[in-house]
Amino acid sequence: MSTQFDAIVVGSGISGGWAAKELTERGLTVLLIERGPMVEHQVDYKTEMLAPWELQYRGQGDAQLFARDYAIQSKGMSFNEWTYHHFVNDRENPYQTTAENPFQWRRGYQLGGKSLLWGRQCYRWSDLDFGANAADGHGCDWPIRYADVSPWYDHVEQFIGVSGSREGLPQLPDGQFQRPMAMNAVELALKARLQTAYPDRKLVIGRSANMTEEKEGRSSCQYRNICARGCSFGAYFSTQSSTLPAARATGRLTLITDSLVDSLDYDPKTRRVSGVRVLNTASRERKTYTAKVVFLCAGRSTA
Amino acid sequence: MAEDPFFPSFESLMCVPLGRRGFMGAAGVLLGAVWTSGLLAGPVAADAGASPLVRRLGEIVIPATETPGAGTAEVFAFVSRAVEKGLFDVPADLFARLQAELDARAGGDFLRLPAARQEALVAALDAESYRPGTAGESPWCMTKTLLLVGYYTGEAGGSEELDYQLVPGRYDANIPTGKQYRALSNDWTGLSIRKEVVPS
Repeated sequence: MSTQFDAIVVGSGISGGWAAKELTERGLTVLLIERGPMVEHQVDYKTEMLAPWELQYRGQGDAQLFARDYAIQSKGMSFNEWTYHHFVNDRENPYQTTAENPFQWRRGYQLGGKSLLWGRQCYRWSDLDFGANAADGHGCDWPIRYADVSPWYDHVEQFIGVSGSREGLPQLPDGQFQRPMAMNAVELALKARLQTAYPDRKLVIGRSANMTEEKEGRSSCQYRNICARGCSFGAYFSTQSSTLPAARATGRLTLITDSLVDSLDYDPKTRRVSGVRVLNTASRERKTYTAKVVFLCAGRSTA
Repeated sequence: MAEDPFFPSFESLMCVPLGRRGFMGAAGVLLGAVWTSGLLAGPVAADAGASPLVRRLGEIVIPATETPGAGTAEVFAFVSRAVEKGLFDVPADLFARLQAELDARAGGDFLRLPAARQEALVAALDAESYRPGTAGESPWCMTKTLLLVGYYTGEAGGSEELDYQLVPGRYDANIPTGKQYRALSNDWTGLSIRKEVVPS
């Protein structure tokens, strides 16, 4: 296998998968490097179809194991006996916080990263958000506004598939939506009462990257509410369901897993990064890969 | 009848302390083996003595009707493992505390009372146990929780009494609920979306 690529992408989560797709589709050879294990779409979703009675603790999980090894991850959404293998082992991967800011860092160290775990809610920012710093004086005024980003929202939503309702609200711009999911009688009753009592407050259906319509071999949502186990229907946006197949289809993607990037090669004369140094965590082999551009898509903030 | 070696009966597993094995190590291999082998753990071996009491209480809480109720070995297996691991913060000596409470109220061995008196005693205990201000932390409350969870996440409760749909395939915002309606048992606690907020 060659060690020279046009581009290297470190991390296969939401942004890494997108970088791999966009770059390969534009003709670049790309090496996508994932520190964690392979999770092949459909094949490796080992708990997806298990009923509660097929698990040791019926879905609650081994409380002692979770307290010992998943003390942070177990506090959050989507963490249960079916999904805990998609979350990082906190005991093996400690981090420091300060007393003033004891943040909980959610992580998933496997192919797809948190794209398997995220909440799938997709809400466009408006100029209320982009212009907030200018308006309230906190931080510097961002040099972009909604008009600059809107075509990229279009681009992403059209690819990943987002269901939602068009509401024409200036504070929450409409997107490129598949048809919305339905509200039940209680939600509709609340919506109607809000309309009467607080007409400027809107209750709208969630805008989610769970599809209501089939798209390019991905099926629509089956309404199981088990997304974080992995979805063999491909019904929500993840690296596995969407960006990885697109990148692979170009023939220009090389994917390596169990591969930890522990340093970058930087040339101070050219002031450019020239490559990455990788430790294969399974074989303990070390290798250097080079590229003209390196995308660091490894480890963002909480899901 | 020859027992299928791949799916042993729960009774045969009752003396195998699989519940005490760790799941650590090569997570993919071990977890996969447990998930796919069908060898779900029976109860913790040391709890075998508690089985008659817990199963009798399960039978009182959810008697067998068209479904087996909560007095089964399957339910006891879960309750035993839950106590071993401290699920729902139950204490390790839950069975001993429960026995002591019931025997005190029975004025002797609870299990030797006639069935009707056992049921009346439990009904009275239950009525007293959920008063406002009590946080559901009595041995009875904890045991009843485990029995209900053990039953409704078991195959009988989860798929015969309730309706388990592996792939609903659709979302109907409003559904008719008549006499034949069986509530969906999937995602039984809303595990994926409801989490007690715990400060860091």
